[in-house]
Amino acid sequence: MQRAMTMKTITASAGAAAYLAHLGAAGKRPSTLATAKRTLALLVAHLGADREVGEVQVAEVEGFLAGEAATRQRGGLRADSSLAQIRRIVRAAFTWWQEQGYVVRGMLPPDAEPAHGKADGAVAACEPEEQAEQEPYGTDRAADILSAASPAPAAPALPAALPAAPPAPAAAPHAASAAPPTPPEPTRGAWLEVTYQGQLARFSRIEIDRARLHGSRKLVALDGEGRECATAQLTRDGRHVLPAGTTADLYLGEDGDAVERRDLTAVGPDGTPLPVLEPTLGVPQEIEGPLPAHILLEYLATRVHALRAEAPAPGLMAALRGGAIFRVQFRPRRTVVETPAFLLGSEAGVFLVQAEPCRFDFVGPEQAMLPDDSADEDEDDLDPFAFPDSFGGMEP
Amino acid sequence: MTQRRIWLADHRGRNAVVPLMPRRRAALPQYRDVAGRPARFCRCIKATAETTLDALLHRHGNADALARALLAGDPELDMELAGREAGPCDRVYVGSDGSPLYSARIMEAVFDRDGCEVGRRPPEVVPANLIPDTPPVWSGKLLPCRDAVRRFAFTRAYQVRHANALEHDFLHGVAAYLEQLDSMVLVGSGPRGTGPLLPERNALPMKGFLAGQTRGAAYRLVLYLAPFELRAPEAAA
Repeated sequence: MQRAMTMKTITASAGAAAYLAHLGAAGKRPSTLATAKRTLALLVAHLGADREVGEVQVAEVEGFLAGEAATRQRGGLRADSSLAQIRRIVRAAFTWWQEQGYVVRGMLPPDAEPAHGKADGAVAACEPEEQAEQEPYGTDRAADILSAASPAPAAPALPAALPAAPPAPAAAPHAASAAPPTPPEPTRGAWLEVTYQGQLARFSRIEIDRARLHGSRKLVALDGEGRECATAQLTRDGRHVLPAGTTADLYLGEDGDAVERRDLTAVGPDGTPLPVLEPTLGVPQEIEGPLPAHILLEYLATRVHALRAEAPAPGLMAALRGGAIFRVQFRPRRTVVETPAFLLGSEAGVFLVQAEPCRFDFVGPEQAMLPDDSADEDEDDLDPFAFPDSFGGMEP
Repeated sequence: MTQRRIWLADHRGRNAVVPLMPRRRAALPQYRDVAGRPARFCRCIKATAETTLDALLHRHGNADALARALLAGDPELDMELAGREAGPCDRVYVGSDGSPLYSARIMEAVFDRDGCEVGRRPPEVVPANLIPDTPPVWSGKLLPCRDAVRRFAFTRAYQVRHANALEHDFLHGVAAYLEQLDSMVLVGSGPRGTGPLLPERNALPMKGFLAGQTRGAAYRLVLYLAPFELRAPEAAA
């Protein structure tokens, strides 16, 4: 079968770098980027750095996924979850290359598409589930959780439908592009657009945390053969083991029936419905300020983004360099919980800090903080001046 | 829960072990259905270790046999368990065969800034150091508040409270001193009081800063903890 013509060409190494740049611009977590980077490094090493991704054959990918680099680590076999993760990352990378035109559309079979329908959705499934936030709004979180919780398919990997490319693509009239590929545009969610004194400023953002700046440590459990163990949930009766992907999060009504997320209404402590706040992405926000620096001491940072000015506003940049702090509306998704965000600058750059209030009050002399263990009430009935006997009781 | 405490020193050479109060978090919103009745969050069981794809493949031998079994019946469903609330569960480690392990060897994997693993080692147990073995030292490192908030990412905070009148006098003095200077003071470990703070065992090392305000006899003294500075990832390299 004649291989269809690719629209653009890119080498495996450049393609991997471009895909990683796309993930970073999409605001993926550092751990996600690191995992994808390691996996793609193995794939590039297997295919060859100068190999064009549009010419990769099915057998090569299958050989990689079945080979030692993908199945073994430090002398031992990888866990099944690791194998599935490698498979997902490779699928997601090829899917994104397809969307960018490096692989002809339609050459990938449907099962190569991530379950979420997003180019990097498979990688997103590698991220730890944010189950502490039981927020029903946003990008249909119930559907995301349910689909992410689906068992990782153990189906054979990639593209059975990728037709075998001819060994020497002599008749390849596609434009032989020698120029390096341009980095993809950041996705909609990776931008911050603000207006200040009538000027529009646009920033690209990268989330930073301690791991991104200083590295991190993680505890791993190994079995007797040195293989990494996966975690699972064990029901309290000890009868059932629930591996990852075997539970579903949902809301139940009083009658025990599931309630669709779109039918849920958030209410406050008094039962009044809370207003739904629309996401601010893609809509320039008017910033408020400058504010006094002490305002930030009333809040704690929950997420921090390093900003890079793509379309700077001179007035705003000057104010930030001078130490001004601004408040900006920043909501990546629909929510009922308002979390303020602050724009600030320093010698190290410009940052967006998402925060939560501390809620500390002033305390007076009479507001002593008592210890947790309160006095035994029975002691109030005893004579305070009596001495205990040798058995611990009170003598009359 | 055991109350968290810290041994603090002030600029006058005095020190005291005082309690720390965590911040109050806003109540999570509750949810109602279309009829206005309460809806509660629930985690339900879809499958167990015996009904995952891997287990079914192992039981039937190959994908074709599994496909025939799926067409003929519902081997992927445990009708007694599917839809049941999971309830509170315990976290366990499972081996390659999916069975729980009764013991596992714990190792600590170290990753660099790029997320690449650089090594593994047995984990170390590092105790908390809010109350050291020797009296703490006033660091004397003051940083204006307007600079501190733009330089560090304060992700945790505790209010330093008093438990008796003497501690109130001590803490009120610290708060007044810091308010007068409009500065935060570095609170840390070690002989100079500039080392990292570990709020609990094996915690991330953090920079601690005290900030204070007063209103007459009332005061508000807060210990802010920062796990990292505000800087771009490229600058960290």
